[in-house]
Amino acid sequence: MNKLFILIIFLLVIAPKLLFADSKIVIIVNKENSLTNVAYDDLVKIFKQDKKYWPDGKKIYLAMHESGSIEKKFVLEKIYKMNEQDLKKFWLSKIFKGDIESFPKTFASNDSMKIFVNRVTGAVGYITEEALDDTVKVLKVEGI
Amino acid sequence: MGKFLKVISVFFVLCLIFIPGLYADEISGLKEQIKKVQSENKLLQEKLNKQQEVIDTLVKKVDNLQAPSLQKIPEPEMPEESGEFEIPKLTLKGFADFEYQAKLTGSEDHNTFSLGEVDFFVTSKISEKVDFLTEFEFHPEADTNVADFHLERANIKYEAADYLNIKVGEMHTALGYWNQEFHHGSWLQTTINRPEIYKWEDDTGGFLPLHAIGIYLFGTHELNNFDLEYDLGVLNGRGKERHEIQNMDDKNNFKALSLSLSVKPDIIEGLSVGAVFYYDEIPENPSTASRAKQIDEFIIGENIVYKYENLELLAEFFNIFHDDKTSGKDYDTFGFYAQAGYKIDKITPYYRFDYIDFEQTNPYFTPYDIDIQKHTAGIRWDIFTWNALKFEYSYSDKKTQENEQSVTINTSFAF
Repeated sequence: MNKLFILIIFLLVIAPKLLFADSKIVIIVNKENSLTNVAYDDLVKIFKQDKKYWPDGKKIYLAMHESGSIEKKFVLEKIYKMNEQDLKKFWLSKIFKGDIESFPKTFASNDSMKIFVNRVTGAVGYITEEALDDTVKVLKVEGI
Repeated sequence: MGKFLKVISVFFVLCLIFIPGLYADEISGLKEQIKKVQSENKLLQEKLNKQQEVIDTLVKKVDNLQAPSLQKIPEPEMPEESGEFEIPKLTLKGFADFEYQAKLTGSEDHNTFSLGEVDFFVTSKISEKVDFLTEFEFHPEADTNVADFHLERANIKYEAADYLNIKVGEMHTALGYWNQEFHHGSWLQTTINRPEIYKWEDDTGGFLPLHAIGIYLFGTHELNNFDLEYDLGVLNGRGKERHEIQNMDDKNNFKALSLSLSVKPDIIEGLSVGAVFYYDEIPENPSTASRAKQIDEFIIGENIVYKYENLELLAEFFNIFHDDKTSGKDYDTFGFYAQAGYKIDKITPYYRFDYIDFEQTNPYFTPYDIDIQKHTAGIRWDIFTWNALKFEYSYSDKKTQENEQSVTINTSFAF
């Protein structure tokens, strides 16, 4: 019974935090953002826009990749846990509830994503590791 | 014969040795002449190339002189606009649905095509932390067979932080999950119809005060291991009849107070457990003798929602206590629904049970105080990204009316 309990706790609490351990996708923020690390649960809230402000009070601007990209596929699977169609419904529902005013900004490439994150102080996005350069800052997830 | 051949051979060899020497001077003279001709040709070719370059340059100059309109004139650089006269942009979206329904009751069968709600909503970002939202719809009225125009929501929201937002205007009351999640967007909800307790005031509903005009403070506090969401409202409250929404004028000076709390534990993603408290003084209705004085209303609600990946589990319970100052009697009305759905690819089979138990003779709900137990089972097929087909069967056990069965096919969409 105790083993089962430990296994359940592991699956619910620990396992999600290891999701980014071997990933080739990195979360990026503006270089002025003082945050260096974020908990996995908070990352989910940020990406679902349940959390709309950084700890320093600046508004969070979420940047998304276009449908079909490997980057988008990664966040759908690891963060949203839903498919493309359900995510569209999710965003429309958020707008309809008045939680957000419009769909998140969408970009076609890692380069355009980096330009947006570089220019907008509160921006957060995600790119492949090899596209990383010094124009943006990596936001670690659970220290990874 | 042999001697003759030898003589011929010797003669031939001697010719090969001595004849070239006789013409050597002439050959060398010819070679020099060839070299001279070649060098003259080279000089001439160089002169020709230079002349061709000069001709090409001249031709270009002549062309330019003859056709000045083909010249590219560099465009002047436009200065950036200041945006002084730029007003916030509007975003318009909407939902609509149409259906065919066959209704089977004990005494009468009926079938019809019908127009659902055609709902529009407009959002606009007024500034970084100020948003405007309005929702209006063409609402079908079965009695008159026309669709009336209704303003459903119109509010402005000020965001201070995640834990503090202020919303002012007309909105859907923060009484529970359904009213805040789906509004009039039938495409968003898994089922075709809203639960019985959430039927709109102007339909045969009015069990709950679903529309509110006033002010709400709301937000999310992150606490250890869970998030606490709150909605605290001061509102006009119910009108003197259950279908009346006090958009313009509150018939009494008392303002309804609403508090909704919900907890989302970090350990179980997708789970939300909430409670609602609502207090109001419903104004008297002088046109009805049984409503000569006010009714004090106290609503307590609980809700449990679990939405994770493909699973949707919803349950909401409400107790409505009425203290009728005219008769001196207390009335207790109870209603709930529980719904489950599981999405498999594009297909979502679902089931819902609705229940309402009115305490009879409640002057505020009469004559719509019909107890009901309703089973609804159906399949939602998300045929396209923004379009769903729903096939639904329902069986309603109404205590004071004939039981009812219906089969409905509905197409709903977002646009």
